[in-house]
Amino acid sequence: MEPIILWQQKWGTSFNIPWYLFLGGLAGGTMTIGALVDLFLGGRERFQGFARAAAYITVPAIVVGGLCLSFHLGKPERGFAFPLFFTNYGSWLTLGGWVVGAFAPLSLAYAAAWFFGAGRPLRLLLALLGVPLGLVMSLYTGLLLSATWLMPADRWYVPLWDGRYLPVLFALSGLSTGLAACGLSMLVWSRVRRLGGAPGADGRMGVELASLADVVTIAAEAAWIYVFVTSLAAVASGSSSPRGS
Amino acid sequence: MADTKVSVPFRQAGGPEMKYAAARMKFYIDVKRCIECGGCEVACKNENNVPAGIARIRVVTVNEGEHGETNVAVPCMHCSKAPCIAVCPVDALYHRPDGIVGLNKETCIGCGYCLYACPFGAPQFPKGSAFGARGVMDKCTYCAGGPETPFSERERRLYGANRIAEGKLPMCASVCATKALIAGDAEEVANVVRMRMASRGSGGGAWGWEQAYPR
Repeated sequence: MEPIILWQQKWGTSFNIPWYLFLGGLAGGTMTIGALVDLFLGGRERFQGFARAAAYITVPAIVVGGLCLSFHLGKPERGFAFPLFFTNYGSWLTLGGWVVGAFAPLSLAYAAAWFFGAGRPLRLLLALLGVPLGLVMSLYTGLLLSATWLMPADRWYVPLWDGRYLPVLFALSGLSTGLAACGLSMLVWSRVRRLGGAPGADGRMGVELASLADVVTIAAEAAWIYVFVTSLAAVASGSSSPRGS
Repeated sequence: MADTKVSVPFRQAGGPEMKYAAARMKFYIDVKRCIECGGCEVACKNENNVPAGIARIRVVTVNEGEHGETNVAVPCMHCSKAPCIAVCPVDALYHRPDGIVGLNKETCIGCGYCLYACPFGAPQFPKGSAFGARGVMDKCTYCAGGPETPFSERERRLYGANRIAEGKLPMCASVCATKALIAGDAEEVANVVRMRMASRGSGGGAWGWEQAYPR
């Protein structure tokens, strides 16, 4: 017989957590993309707009996401003071609190470095920190969801919350939404500048690069989803052991 | 089966050498006896003044209306390897020395991670500001109250009755009409279960009302 998991209702129609999952993944992916472009291509004029757009997008994403996350708690004030209260380091919620707590200031500092025209060495240092932290930011929620499986049962409570597939899926989707956001913002910004008559650098190169990279990432994501769903179907039809061991 | 002499090795709660051993409190629900009367749920709500919409213990029915319908009352199972304790970021959930999983509502931040970690649906979140604590988790306390001073007004308001400190067992097990839900020290509960299983036997005669109540 199928194992039965009895879950209660908590949030009803509240969408705070889905919004946080999306915005957190977007912020993480955008930071990683922007930091990578800044590190490897930032010396060239035509890619600077790309990295700058990424840095600016990260800030509202993480701020709004962080607010959604804090206000889903029954006691948001304790969420803001998490270094004092989150004492269980075996829980992904505590580790995630520190990930967000490190990522948010870093993304603010990075955006400020672009806005105030700080020197390239400082920006590169922040970008160097931003690449791994951005990746962790987008995929730690996958680990958090899959960590609810703790008992030595045969499978995850929710088969979709599979710790082997979900974090990679979250990381890929964070990267692809980040690329899309960068491309869209550069497109909008170049149109706005052209309307204003300013003879700005042609942003088309960055937009095309962003959309090309996005297509590649989405293809990778689709392939991963195919592998994921195939493994779920295999478990469902009983043709393979649920935990693959 | 009525005249069968059942010989079951009983294990003393204190161990073979009868040394003092701390109690390890457990629930056991005998699915062959639960009749879904819901008395446990009502008694718990009454004794602990549980807010509306929260059922610290509730009866779950499998295969309703079909052959092989089974009912089981599900409180907090006070697991030895509790997933809720493992995932709580603020350590609001803890093991008492007697094995009961306790909750500290002052510490709880209402994140709901325990709700997703528990396979039994024990953590629940009252709407509004019931119990004077907004948005924090509520669950079966084994009628052991909370970390407040026993029998204080605050403990009563936040957590409900403290029957364990009075030397009593949880209300649900006390009122179970068929003794499907039994509570107490794990060794004592295991002894009862072992006796029931032995007298019921196995095979075709193992299911039925005669076997549910061994003579």
